[in-house]
Amino acid sequence: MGVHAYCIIPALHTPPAQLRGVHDEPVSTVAAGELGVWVSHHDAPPPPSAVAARAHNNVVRVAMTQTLTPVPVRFGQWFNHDEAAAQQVAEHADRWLERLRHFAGRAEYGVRVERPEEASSARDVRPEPLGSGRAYMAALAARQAAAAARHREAREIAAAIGAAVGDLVADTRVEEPTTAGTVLRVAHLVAWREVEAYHSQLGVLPSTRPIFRFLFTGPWPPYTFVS
Amino acid sequence: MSTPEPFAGPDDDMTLAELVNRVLDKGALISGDVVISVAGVDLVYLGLRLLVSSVESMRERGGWGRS
Repeated sequence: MGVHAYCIIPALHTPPAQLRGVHDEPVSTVAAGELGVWVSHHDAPPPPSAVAARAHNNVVRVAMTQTLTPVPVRFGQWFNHDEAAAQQVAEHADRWLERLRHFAGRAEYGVRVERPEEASSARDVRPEPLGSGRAYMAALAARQAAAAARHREAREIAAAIGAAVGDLVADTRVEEPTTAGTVLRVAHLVAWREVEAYHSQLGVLPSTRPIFRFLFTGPWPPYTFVS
Repeated sequence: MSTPEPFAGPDDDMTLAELVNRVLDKGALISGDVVISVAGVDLVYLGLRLLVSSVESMRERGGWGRS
């Protein structure tokens, strides 16, 4: 049997006895010095699915407390046996311990900004393959101009979000996805004690930009802040 | 100690997208390699360089590493 890994956590923090993970398998700890990794055992690497992703995330969420936040492991980390998992975790113990200190007392929150009417976006402007060279170049220029405008728009919203949350967040990651309709994804690392103020500050943003849809999510284990 | 309740409902489609994006694309790479079996047919290999390949092309290159 192999090992599916969920999160890295101080060795003394063990999972509840009844905790079940992916495919309803029991979750246990593999010790790696002063660290531990929460795992479940399977005959083969669990395939990704919405159900499996939820189960994986649920295990990591159970590991979170007000004072301790684990290092979440990406779905798909597979080891042939417990010793291999322990060895790999111990090899970079300093890195995991530094992340555990950074995450302590904090959780990840997300802001996803959507633009429902995506018709005017850069990705919908396509060069005409059978047109003249001039038309082709004009279409390319239009696409680049639209992409630049979209980037400016994303940066402006990111700046507004940053101004709203100020120093309520301990860390920030910003992405401009290529997914149609998604303008921006922002992840914040927020201390539990600041969550109420954080929600309050973000709550005013949608009314100031009615053409966008804002989705606020969390708390998450700090997947986005591992690296 | 308990943690605050979720900000968005867990059944919302976009929240599911946020979950999948985090769980499958973020988080720690303990060994540097992630092996994912897709629908029991293909294997998608995600290394530190985000190399994505089918099992056949990986075989052509001489296999993949697991810990």
